Amino acid sequence: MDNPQQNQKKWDSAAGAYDFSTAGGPEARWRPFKKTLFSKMAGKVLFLAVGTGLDIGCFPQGQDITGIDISPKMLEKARPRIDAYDGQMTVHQMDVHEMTFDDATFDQVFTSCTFCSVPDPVRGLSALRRVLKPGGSLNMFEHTGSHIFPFNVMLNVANPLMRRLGPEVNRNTVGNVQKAGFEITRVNNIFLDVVKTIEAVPAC
Amino acid sequence: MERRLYFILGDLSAAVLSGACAGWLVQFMVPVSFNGPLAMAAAMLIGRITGMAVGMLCGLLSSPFFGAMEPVLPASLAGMVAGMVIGTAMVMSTLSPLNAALGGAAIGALCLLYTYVQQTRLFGDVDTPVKS
Repeated sequence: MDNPQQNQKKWDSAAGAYDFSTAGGPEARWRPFKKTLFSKMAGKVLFLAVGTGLDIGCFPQGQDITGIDISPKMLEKARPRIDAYDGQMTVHQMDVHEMTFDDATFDQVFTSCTFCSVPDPVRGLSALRRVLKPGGSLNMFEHTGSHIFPFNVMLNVANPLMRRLGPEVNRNTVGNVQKAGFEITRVNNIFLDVVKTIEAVPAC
Repeated sequence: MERRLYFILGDLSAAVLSGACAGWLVQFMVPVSFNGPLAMAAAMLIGRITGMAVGMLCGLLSSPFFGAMEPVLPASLAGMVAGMVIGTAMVMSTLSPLNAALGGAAIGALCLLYTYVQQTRLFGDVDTPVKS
């Protein structure tokens, strides 16, 4: 498992080529689904991880959004997109495991392809639960492992290589959300059972 | 189910190219002296490993243009299956490089079809999300 310093270094290194690898095909393919998920933004919103800010174009206007990312290089690249957002958006260089926000600060948390990369996903998700207000919601756009043969085998085999390049590709993120003390309210498959949206609320 | 022609053609080209490259390469890797059941198993293994590596490479190269997961998974599957099938076929008979590539390409198209069938089945809300 990467420690926060290794994780930051990995994503700092990826910042230069990140838009080339994701801004074209992947974003064009996923943008309609992201827009649908992000259209639910309301109240005080925490968004992680901002990356180079590609997702900001999918945000509804006029929201109050706080963004975090572990990589200062990514945030540097995101700056023009943050400045162009038609709403209130502030960003912080911060590790999700060690967030400095007070308890019950946010009405909603949104993630986008984040928990494939957080080194300790259950601890990271528990931290999100801490900063959510009672009655708040967690809304995730994520890629995960698969339960379908042979895709599950392929993702498991590919994972050791992929985690060196960036994300892990075989995580059970729905299970991790539950382990972190959330109750799943909706799972929507977008590509196979690999790319999906996950909606959850803190379990009572 | 993807309906945009650009992405369908991207998925198809990645899967067909992956299958064809895997078939072509494995044709050279399985020695002509291979025969018998053990050789067939060895050829299948060589084909599977080689094909999966080729498939992942084809998928990752197409990813910036056609999608992060959508072309990569069927292309990896195409490489793996084409490598296994062509590797096994090489033990039973001799295939020319062209025929191995054409066979691999056809397998690639079938793998994409399989992926699309699974996608149609799985797309949308999961009926009963597991409650904690």
